[in-house]
Amino acid sequence: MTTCSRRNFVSGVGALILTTGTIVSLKAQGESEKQEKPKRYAMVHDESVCIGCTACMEACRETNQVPEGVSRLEIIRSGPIGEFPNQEYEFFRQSCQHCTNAPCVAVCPTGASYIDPTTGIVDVNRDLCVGCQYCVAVCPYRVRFIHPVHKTADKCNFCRDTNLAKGKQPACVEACPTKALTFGDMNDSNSAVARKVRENPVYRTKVQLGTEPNLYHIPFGKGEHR
Amino acid sequence: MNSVLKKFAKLSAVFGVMLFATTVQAEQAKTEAKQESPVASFEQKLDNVRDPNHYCAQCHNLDVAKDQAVGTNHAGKFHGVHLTKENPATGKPITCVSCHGNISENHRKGVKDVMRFDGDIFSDEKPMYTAEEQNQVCFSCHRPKDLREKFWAHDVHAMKLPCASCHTLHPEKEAMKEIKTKERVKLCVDCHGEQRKRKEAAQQMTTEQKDKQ
Repeated sequence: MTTCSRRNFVSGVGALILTTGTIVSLKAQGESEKQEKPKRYAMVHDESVCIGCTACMEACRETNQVPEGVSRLEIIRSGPIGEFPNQEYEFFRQSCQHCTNAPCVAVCPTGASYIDPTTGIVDVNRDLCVGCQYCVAVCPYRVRFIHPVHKTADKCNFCRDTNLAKGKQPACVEACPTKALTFGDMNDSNSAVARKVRENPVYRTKVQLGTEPNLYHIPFGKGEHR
Repeated sequence: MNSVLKKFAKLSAVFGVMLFATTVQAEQAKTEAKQESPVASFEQKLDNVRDPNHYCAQCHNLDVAKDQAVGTNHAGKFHGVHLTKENPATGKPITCVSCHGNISENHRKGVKDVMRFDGDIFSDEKPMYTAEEQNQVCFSCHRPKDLREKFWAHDVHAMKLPCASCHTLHPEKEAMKEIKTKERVKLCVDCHGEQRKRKEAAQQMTTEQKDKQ
């Protein structure tokens, strides 16, 4: 006859909890390793091959139903450099940088501006946005605007709700005739975008602000770059 | 008697007025004639001054239906603003030979004396004149500064691409006149897209050749 004293019972249960607990925690660790890493979508604009045709701007406008007068994406032309007939122009892409540390998200009073945790895309929830324009004012890249139809803040979202949802590349990337735009996951070291960033001289703008932007540029190579 | 005299006086007065009027008219007509043909510029419109485009147009038919036209160069109608403009260098109207150069009879046999504007850069046939040779004809009147003001892309294509690749001078409506942004972008995309495809294909070929070796 074994007597189950209170002392034996408590120590037994304690040991049981201890062992099962560690097993559970071990199991959890194993699972997290199998889980996919969250994506960090980024884009590279190769200024050395961009021809400034603005096909990207047109495609964006059409795909995302952006009205005339405002734009999510702009190609800024500067130049010419050199003498006729050997002149060149430089083209700079101005659009949302999808900052990892986004000021627009930090200032939003309603939580309408947010970073999608699975993709790293900075997006706006139209139902929550009240149009206060804090984000428009705070964005150091000057890429936000108030949508004339929806009266809410709007900007590039890498076609998250349009082309990406259909499993396609963003409209601008698809439209580019010289393949100057590369889009993909920076967390995947084998992705085209990660390779582009690794194998080319790249720069990002206003890194000193600590915004951690995700729009990379391959410099034009002539004159002073931004 | 008095009444007869009065009548005569009236009649003579009317005659006098009429005579005066005719002389005045004649005077006016003279002055008008003087204004029409001032002595300083002696310009006679003679029938024996032949229309310089006439000779070309005998074969390269103006305003003929396309199915009647012979050969690729003879197709279609010749329109366009150039036929109404003057050559800024000479002040004379622009004719066929202003742009197409000194043409001999042998141009029918393909002699390289007539300027042939060929805009198809993806053609397998090598054009008779390079883009630079072709464009120099255009640049003799069209200044780079004016072209840039019109559209920046003139600068980057200046001597690399024939003007005729985008511009069409002889159809009724010039293709680039008042072109919509979307159509213009499509031109860039089509041409540069094709270029990239060919480049990639060429690279593919060279790598395959290297693999074989």
